Amino acid sequence: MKAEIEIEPAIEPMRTRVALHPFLAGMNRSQVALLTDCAMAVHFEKGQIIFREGEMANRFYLIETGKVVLESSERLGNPVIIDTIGRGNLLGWSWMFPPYTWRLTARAVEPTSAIFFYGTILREYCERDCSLRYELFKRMAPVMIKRMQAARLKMLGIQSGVEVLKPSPVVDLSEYD
Amino acid sequence: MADTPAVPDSSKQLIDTLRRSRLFRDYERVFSEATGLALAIRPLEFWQLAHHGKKHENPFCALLAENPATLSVCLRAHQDMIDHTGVLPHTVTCPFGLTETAVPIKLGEQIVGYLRIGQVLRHIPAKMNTTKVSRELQRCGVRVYG
Repeated sequence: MKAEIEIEPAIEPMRTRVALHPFLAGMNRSQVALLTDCAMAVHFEKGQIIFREGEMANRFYLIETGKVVLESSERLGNPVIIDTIGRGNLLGWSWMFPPYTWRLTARAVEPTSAIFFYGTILREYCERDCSLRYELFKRMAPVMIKRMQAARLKMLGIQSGVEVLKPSPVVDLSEYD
Repeated sequence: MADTPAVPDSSKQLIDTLRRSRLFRDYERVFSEATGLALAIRPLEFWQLAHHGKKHENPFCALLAENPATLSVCLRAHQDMIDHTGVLPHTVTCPFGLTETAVPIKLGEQIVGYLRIGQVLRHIPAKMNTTKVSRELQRCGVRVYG
């Protein structure tokens, strides 16, 4: 895990936080136990990069408070914000599919609290427990569709020239390096 | 990475045994027939709607249970109720306006589970109430018509 992740003291038991999170609500007792086994509370400061496009995707986050933006690569110029993710949402699904690399870069635009899930362990649990895999897929599929639609609309906007490419808000990231 | 230990399985097994007992099933049936309300016996940690799938389940609550985001709102209210239930029963009103009550079940000094009654709308909703519920639903990403 990267040094940039700050571990947050738990406010209520992690299994309760996992079970009641809007993304996971409805999971049964054994599924909650498996998820909790690879969960940890984390906090990100404003401007902090949570993951970078092209890096290995071995985790995902469920946002509890704060806001995160997903940006496309800077290779084409200024980064383009594809989507904004807030409280109750999933951040990261590339950990579930080969080649297990992030497709976008995630950056906190507000102080953000989240539950971190260790994807490598969870992938093994999913292999062993089909119901867990099904429940995760069921919840992730709409998020994936929404993100892909957001990316498509951005690209259409860029192509048609309607979208003005604004640079992302300038944040001094040096303190997080 | 797990923090505090989960609720002992013995408590859950005890509650499961009670739930399946003839005595409780008769009581549940008579209670539900007399009041039209669902009754359930649940362990300390239970992260589903207490009455989901029961004959007397409130259909509005059944709909809310279909969506993890709305279900989370219900479960959060119920968790607050459980957190505030000591030796006496405790009632909460969820953000959708329905009340839920938990009655502690004790084995000696230890609470091992709860009798749960609820999904009750205690008054005819005013316009203000429906607007509040619509807002809460929209916050959960549900499209509200009308």
